[in-house]
Amino acid sequence: MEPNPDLLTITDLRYAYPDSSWQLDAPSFRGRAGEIVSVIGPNGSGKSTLLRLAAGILPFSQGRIEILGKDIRFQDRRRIAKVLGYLPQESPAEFDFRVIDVVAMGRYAHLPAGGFLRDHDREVVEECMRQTATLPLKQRRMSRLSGGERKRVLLASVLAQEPRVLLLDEPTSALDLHHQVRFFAILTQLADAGLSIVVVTHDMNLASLYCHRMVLMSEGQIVREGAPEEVLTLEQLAPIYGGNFLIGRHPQIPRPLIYPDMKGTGG
Amino acid sequence: MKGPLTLRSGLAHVSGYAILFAMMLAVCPLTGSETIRMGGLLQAGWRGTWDISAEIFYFQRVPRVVLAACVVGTLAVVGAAFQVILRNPLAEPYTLGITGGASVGAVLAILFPALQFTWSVFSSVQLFALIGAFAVLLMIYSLARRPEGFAVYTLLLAGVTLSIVSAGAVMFLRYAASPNYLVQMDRWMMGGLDVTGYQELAALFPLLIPGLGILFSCMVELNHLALGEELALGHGVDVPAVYQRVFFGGGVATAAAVSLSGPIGFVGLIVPHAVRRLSGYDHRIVLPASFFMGGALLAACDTVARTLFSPTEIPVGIITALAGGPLFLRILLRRSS
Repeated sequence: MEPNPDLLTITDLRYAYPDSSWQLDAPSFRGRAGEIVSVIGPNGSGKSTLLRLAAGILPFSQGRIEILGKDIRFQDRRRIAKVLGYLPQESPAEFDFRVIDVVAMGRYAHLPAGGFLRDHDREVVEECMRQTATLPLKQRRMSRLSGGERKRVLLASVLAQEPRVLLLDEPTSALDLHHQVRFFAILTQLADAGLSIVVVTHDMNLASLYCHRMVLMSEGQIVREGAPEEVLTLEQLAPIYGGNFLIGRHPQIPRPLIYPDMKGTGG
Repeated sequence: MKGPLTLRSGLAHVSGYAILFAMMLAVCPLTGSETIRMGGLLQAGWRGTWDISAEIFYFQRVPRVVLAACVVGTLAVVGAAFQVILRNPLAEPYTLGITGGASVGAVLAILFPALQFTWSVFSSVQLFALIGAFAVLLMIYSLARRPEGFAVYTLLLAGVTLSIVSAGAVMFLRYAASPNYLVQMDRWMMGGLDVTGYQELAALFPLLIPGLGILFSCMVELNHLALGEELALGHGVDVPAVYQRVFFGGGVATAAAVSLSGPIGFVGLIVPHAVRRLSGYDHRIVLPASFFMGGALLAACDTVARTLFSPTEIPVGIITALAGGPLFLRILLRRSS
């Protein structure tokens, strides 16, 4: 069977922050249609930097990033936004917009000056709110939402761009288990609809259960890439995270899960 | 308004503020220590026969009220935009130190008689205030500019620092100045709207209108920036370009306003917040509504300043602080509850 087409391709990417010796190297990274890829790794390993580079937010000089086969360096932001959605880790909350307004803002790249929605845009906005189960919240102010609701609203706003590639930076951090599961279930539906999704996360168990592939990063390098059972092994993880954990299996599906080693015998 | 903002609902919303603004502009010039005879006004308008009442109305009160409304309306618009790009609800037009630069220029022009001249529609005080404001603007721009855009916190810190340096320079100049000039300096620093005729307005608009135009062209993008720089970039907003436009548009408009009226504080800070409380956070409403509300508020405050201890006028900044502050708190508390 033919593999799904690559919607996001990173080749020979190298990036260093100004005045820092730390460097990110990504010789090869692919995001395929219909797949959820999780990027895992300890703090400071370069996960978010990789995502920001892929989203065209950080400028780079070495390497190549293509979205749907086109080099992002030669595209303006509006054109990129029509095919690529990026949900940052945090967004400020000083300006208390209504939920409907935040989701509608996702149509920016498709709208003429003035930013007023047309009939088709309204339908897209409503559909994105339905997909993310935020339709009942549409008149609420952002400050009145729970963390999980807020994340889903911001996801709806990104989906309103009608992207083919979705980049999410720790979207479920600080959410309770119910909201984490609900969020990943939405991502699964989106991937089934043909989106290529890349998620940066610290939650390796959720990543294992919901993602098709995992990318393990350490000190700016991609250490391992593959199916969850290939990446979540003691051999791969112990040198990076230390060995105080055990690897088991989910009782319902054949996916690895990680447990802390309570007796200190792991590794 | 249930759905997202439409052109019609936006216009309907803003027109409420515009009507308030127009009413203030119509009523305020009729009020003052000298009673205005309507018959005199109409005669002057139709037959060209001017009595004292018409002179006061057309050449003192109307230009003064229009100036007050435009200057403060502009400051409120700049405040609304700066609060977004500086990610600081306490930002106002003066946060970037532009007023400090203008003050140094104005005080220098007052201090040295050799510098007192009139060039075209500009008085020397206004011209030097403009030069001072632009000097600060360029200095901050060169300090905060980065290849990928602006360093926002550098912008903020540089602005605050230059304000402090300017205040020090003004204090030194005041210390060195002859007491004869101190009153004139103080009046400028308190913010004044003493204009006669339309010359000052003519000097104001060539800078004010382009500055405001640039800010109004960024209304949609300001909404996205209010959600955070990264989400705005993700939505497709050219964030560095918006920063640059708001910085220069706001800077030029503030410089024009301050060079003419001196610093009129407070309004640029509170009016945008009051509008957001009353009409929501969409900057397609907030910016034009801030202009109209700021203008209406100052026209009203200026009328009070002219009439409260008539024939003595008190600086309008005192009225804006004493009346505007409690009004703002009332709006704040009403919405919170």
